[in-house]
Amino acid sequence: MELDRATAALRPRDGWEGQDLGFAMARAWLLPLWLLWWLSALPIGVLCLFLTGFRPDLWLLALWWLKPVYEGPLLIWASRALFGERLGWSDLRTLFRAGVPRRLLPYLLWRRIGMRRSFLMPLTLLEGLQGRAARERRRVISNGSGVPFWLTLVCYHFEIILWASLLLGIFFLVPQELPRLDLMAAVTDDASWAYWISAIAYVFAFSMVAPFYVCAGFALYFSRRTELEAWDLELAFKTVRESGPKGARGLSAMLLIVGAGLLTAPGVDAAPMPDPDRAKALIAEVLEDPDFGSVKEVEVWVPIESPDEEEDPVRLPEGVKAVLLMVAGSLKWILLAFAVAGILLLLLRILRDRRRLGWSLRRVRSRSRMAVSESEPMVEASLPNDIAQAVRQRLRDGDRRGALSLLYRASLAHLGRLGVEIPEGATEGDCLRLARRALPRAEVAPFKRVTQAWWGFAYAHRAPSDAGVESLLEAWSQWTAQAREEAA
Amino acid sequence: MNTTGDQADQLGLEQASAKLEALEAMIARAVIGQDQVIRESVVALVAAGHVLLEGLPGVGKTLLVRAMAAALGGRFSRVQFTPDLMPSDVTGHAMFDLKSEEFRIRRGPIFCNLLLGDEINRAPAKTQAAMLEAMQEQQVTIEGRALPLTPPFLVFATQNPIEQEGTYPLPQAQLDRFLLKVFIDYPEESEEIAMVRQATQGRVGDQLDTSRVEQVLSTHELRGIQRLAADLEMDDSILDYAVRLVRAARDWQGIETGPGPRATVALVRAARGHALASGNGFVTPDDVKAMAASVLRHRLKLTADLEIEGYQPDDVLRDLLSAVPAPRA
Repeated sequence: MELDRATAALRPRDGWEGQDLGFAMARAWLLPLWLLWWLSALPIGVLCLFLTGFRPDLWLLALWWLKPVYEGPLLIWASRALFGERLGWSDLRTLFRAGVPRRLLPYLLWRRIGMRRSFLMPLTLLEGLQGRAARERRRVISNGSGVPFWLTLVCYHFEIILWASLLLGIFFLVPQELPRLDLMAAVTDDASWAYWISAIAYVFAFSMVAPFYVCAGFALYFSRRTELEAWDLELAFKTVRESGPKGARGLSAMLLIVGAGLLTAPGVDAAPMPDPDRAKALIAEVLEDPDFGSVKEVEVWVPIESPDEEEDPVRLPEGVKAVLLMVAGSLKWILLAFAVAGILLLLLRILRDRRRLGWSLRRVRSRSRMAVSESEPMVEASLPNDIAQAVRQRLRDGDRRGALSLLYRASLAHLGRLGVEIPEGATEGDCLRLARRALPRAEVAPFKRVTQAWWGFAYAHRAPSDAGVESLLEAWSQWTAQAREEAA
Repeated sequence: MNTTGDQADQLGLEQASAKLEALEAMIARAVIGQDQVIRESVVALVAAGHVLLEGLPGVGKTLLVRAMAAALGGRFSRVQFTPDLMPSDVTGHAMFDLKSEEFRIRRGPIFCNLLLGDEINRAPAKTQAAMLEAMQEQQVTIEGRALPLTPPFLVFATQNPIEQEGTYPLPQAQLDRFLLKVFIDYPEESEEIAMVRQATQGRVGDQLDTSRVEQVLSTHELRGIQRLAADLEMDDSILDYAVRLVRAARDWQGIETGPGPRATVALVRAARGHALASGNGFVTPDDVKAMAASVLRHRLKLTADLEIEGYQPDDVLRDLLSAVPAPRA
C-alpha cells in the first residue's frame, strides 16, 4: 500500500470524524459512484423484474436485499480513488470481479440485516480474510464502536426521507388535470401504478444514499486501520526518509533507531558499534527536534467523584449483599415465570377470541351439517314400519292431516335413502329443489305431488279427499318399490 | 263511489296474480336482467312497504323505479338528495299569496304515489328525517296542518355502497322504516348485451328509456291487490317460523344488534306479498325464507370483528336460514 499517495490526510480520527471523511469523499466522487451504482443495479433490477413476475413489492424487496452486490464495486472504486487511482470504463471488468466475489455471500444471507455492513465489508473485499482470521480481525477492527451502527440507521432514515420527499413532490407538483398520485395506493396497493412509482422512487433513494453509506463505512475502516497500524507514523518516517539532505537529522534519527534495533538483534555482529557518546549527543539532538520534543496540551473533562465511589455507592456487609443477590436472582426467575404465563394467557385469549369471532361462522356451518346428518335418522326413527298401512289407518280414523304428514315424512326419508341430503332449515320448496337437482324428473314427480298436497293442506287448509290421499299413497308405493327393486 | 276501486276490490287471486305477472314483465322490458330485483320491488308494492335500493352507479336503480312508475300509473316524483336539500324542498311549505293575501300551502314532491329518493344518504339527517316521518305516518305536517298522503304512497330510495365521503348514512332506526333493502348487482353478460342493444339501438342521447313500458296496473287496482295480500291464508306455523327466524337473529353469534319486532311484522308482510306475486293463495315457509334476507339485512348490525373480516349480513343470514328449522310435516 502506497500511503504517500493517499488523498486524505493520514491521522488518527475518532469514529464521527471518520464518518465525516467518508461523506466528504462521497461528495467529491458522487457522480462516478452514482453511475457505478446504477451500472451494477440496473441489470439486476431488470432480471429481478422478470423473476418476481412484475410484482413491485417482491421486486423492491429483491433489490433491497441485493444491496451489497451493488455496494461492492463502489467500495473497490472508492478504496482505489483514495490512493489516487481513478478507475475508468476500461477497468469495469476488474472492478466488478473484485467487487462481487463469492466471499460476499454472507453479506447476502445472515449478515444482510447486520447494522455494520459498510464498515465490515472492506475487511472481506479488501483484505480477503476468511474464517477464524476474519473473525479475529473483525473483533480487533470493531473495538465496540457504535458509529457504524448509527451510520446504518441514519442512512436508512435518509432513504425513507428521500423516498417520501420524492412521492410528495410528485403528489404536489403534478397538475390537477393529470391523474393524481394516490398516496395510500402508493404504499399499500401493489396492483396500482402508484405503487410502481413508489417502488422506483425507493430505488432512486437507494442509489442516492449508497455512495455516502459505502464511503462513510470505508472511511471508518480506514481511520481505524490508521489508528491500529500507525499509518501516520509510517508515512511521517517515509516522508523524512525521502526528504533527502533537508531531513538529514530525521534520517540520522531513523538510522539511529534502526541501529538500535540491530544492536538488540541476536547474531548480528557484522555492523560497526556506534560510539556511545556520539550516539547520546545525537539522541539529545534528535529529541530537541520539534517533531519529537513538542509539548501538546490537551484538555479533558474528568469526573469529580472517584470511580471507587461510583462502583459501590453503598457499602453493604457481605451477608446482606449475598441475600440481596439471592433475592434479585429469584426475582429474575419470578419475572420470567410471569412473562411466560402472560404469553400463555395471551395465546389462550387469542384462541378464545378467534373461536368466538373468526370461527363462529364455520362453527355454525358445522352445526348445520350436524343437523343434516341427524335429521334423517330422526325422520326414519319416527316412521312406522308399514307406511301404507299406517296412512290408511289414519284415514280410517279421519286424521287426514296425520296421514298426509306421515306420507310426506316418509317421502323425505326415502329421499334421504336416495342420497338427497336435506338440511334442517330446508323448507318444502327447498326439499323439492334439492330433489330436482339430484334425481331424474320421473323420480321427482311422486314427491312433487305429495309436496303440493301437503302445501295445500298445511298452509292453505285445503284438505284433500280420502281418494286423493289414497292416490298419492299409491304413487308413493310405486316410487319406493321401484327404488327398492333397483337397489336389489 | 269509485267504480275502478270497486273493480279492484273484486279482483280475484288469479286476476291479481296475472296483473302482477304483467307488471313484472312490463318492468322487465326496461330493466333487463334483474328478475330478482323486480320481483322484490313488486313484493314491496304488494306489501305496501318502502324499499331501499342499493347498487353501484349505472346498474339501473333509477330506471327500475321509473319503469315501475310507468307501469303503475299514479303520480310519480323524483327527488335528488343533496347536502343542501332542505326538508321543505321535499315536504312543501307555506307561502304568502299576494293576490289573495293569505298563506297557501305549496305541496312538495312527496305528495305522490311513488317517490324516487335518489341517493338518500347525501341529504343531511334533518331532511332524511322529514321524509322518513312521512313514510311512517303517511302524512306531512306543514305549518301545523297535517296533510295526509294519498295512498298508495311508496318510497323507493337509492344509495350507492361506494363514495361514502360527504354522505350521511341512515341511522338504524330510520333504516327500519324500509320494508326491504334490495341489492342491485351487475347483470349477466348476455343480459348486459341485450340491455346495451336496447339502450343504443335507434336512441339518441343517454336518457332513461321507459317508452316501451305501458301502464298495466292502476293505483286503485294496486290497493285492491294489497288488500288481497293482507287477507291471504296464513297458517300459524308460518308466523311461528317468521318469529323464530327473527328471534334467532337476535341471539346469533356475530350479530351485535338484532332485528326488532317490526322486522317480524315486515317479514310476514313481505312473505304475503311474495306468495301473491308467486301466484299462490296461501303463504308457505318458502315465501318467508325468500324474503328473509331483503327484510333483515338492513335491520341487523354485525359485530366489529365480523365486519373487519369482511363478512356481510347476507353471509350470516344464509347460515341462519339454513340452521333454523323450517316447519315441515
